[in-house]
Amino acid sequence: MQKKLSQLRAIEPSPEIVDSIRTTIDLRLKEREVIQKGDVVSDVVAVTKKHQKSNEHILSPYMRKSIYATSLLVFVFAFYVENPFMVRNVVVFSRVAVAPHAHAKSEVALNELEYLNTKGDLFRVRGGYDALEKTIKLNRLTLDTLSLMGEKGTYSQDDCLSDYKKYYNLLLMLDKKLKSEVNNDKVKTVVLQEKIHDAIEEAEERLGSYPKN
Amino acid sequence: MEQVMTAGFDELYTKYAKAIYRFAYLKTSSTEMAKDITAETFCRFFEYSKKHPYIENEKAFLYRIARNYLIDCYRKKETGGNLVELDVETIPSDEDILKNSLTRELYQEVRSAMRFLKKEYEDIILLHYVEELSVKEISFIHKTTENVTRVKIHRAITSLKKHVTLSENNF
Repeated sequence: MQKKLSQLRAIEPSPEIVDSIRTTIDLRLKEREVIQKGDVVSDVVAVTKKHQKSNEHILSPYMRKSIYATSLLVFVFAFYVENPFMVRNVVVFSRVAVAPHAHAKSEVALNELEYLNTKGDLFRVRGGYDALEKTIKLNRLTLDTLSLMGEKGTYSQDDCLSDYKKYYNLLLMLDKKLKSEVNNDKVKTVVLQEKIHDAIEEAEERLGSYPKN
Repeated sequence: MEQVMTAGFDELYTKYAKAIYRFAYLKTSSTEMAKDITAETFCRFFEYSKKHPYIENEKAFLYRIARNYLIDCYRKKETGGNLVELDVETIPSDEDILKNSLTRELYQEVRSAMRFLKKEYEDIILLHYVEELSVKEISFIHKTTENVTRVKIHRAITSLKKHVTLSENNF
C-alpha cells in the first residue's frame, strides 16, 4: 500500500505552472508591501483623528460650554463698548415686543425716552442721536396703538392721557436740551429737531382730542 | 518587475514548490486551487521569515502553512470541496499533472479509497506515505505529540485498508 501511495509522487506541476506560481508570489508580495505602506499612512491618520477626538473629549461638555459662553460675553461686551445704545435698543425693543398690551408697551418706550432725557452726554456719545431718533419712533408707534378712551380690563382713559402728557413733556425737554447743548453734528441735530417737532405736534393733537384739554 | 524574493527563498522555492503543489492538488483536485495554495503558502512563509529568520524545519513549516490555508479555504467555502468530498467521476483530465495513464489510474484508485476517510487521516496518509514526511514533521504540522501521530498513522492506514477498492494483493 505504501508503495502504491508513494507512486503518487509522480504527480508534479509542469515548469510553466511552477513559473506562473512564482510570478503570482512576486505579485502578491508586491501588493502586500503597498498595502502595508498604506496601512502605515492610515495608522497615522487614525492616530491623528484619535488625538483630535481626545482633545474634544477633554473640552467637552463643560469646558466647551464655558468657552462658548465666554466668547459670547466677550462679543457682547465688545459690541457694547463700541456702541452702547445699540445693545440698549435691542433690549428695549425686545421688552416692547413681549409686553402684554399697548399700555405696557408705551410705558416701556416712555421709560426709555425718559432715560435718554436724563442722560447728560447724550449728544456727545457715539450713537446718541440715532438712539434718540429710534426711541422717538418707537414711542410714536406704541402710542399710536393706544386707544385714547382706554381698553376695558387693561388700561383706562386716564392712563392713556397721562402717557401722552408724559410723552409731550419729555419731547419738550428734549427739544430744549438739543437746543441748549453744543452739538458737533449740525445735520443730525437739524434732522432730529424736525422729528421732535413733528412728534410734539402729533402729541398736541392727541392731547387736544381729550375733553379736559 | 523587481524580484521581491531573496536568493535563499528562491532556493527554497525550487526545492519545495512541487511538493507543496502536489499536496494541494491531492487535497483539492484542482490545478487552480493548487496554484493559489502554493503561491499563498510561499507568500506567508516569506512574510513570516522576515520577522523570524530562524525556522527549524522549513519543509514541515511550509506544509503546516499550506494545511492551515487549506483549512481557511474550507471554512470560507472557497473550494468546491476536497479530495474526500469529490465524486470519483469528476477526476480532472490534467495531462500535465497526471502524466500518464498509470498515474491517472492510481490517482483514481487512491481517491476512491480515501473518500471514506476522515480529513485528518487523509492528511496524515498524504503527508506520511506520499510526501514522505517523518512522524516528527507530521506532529509539528498537526501540533500533536509524536506518539499521537504514530497512533493516527496506524489508524489512518487501517481505515484506508478497510475501504480500499483495490485488490488485497495490490495493497
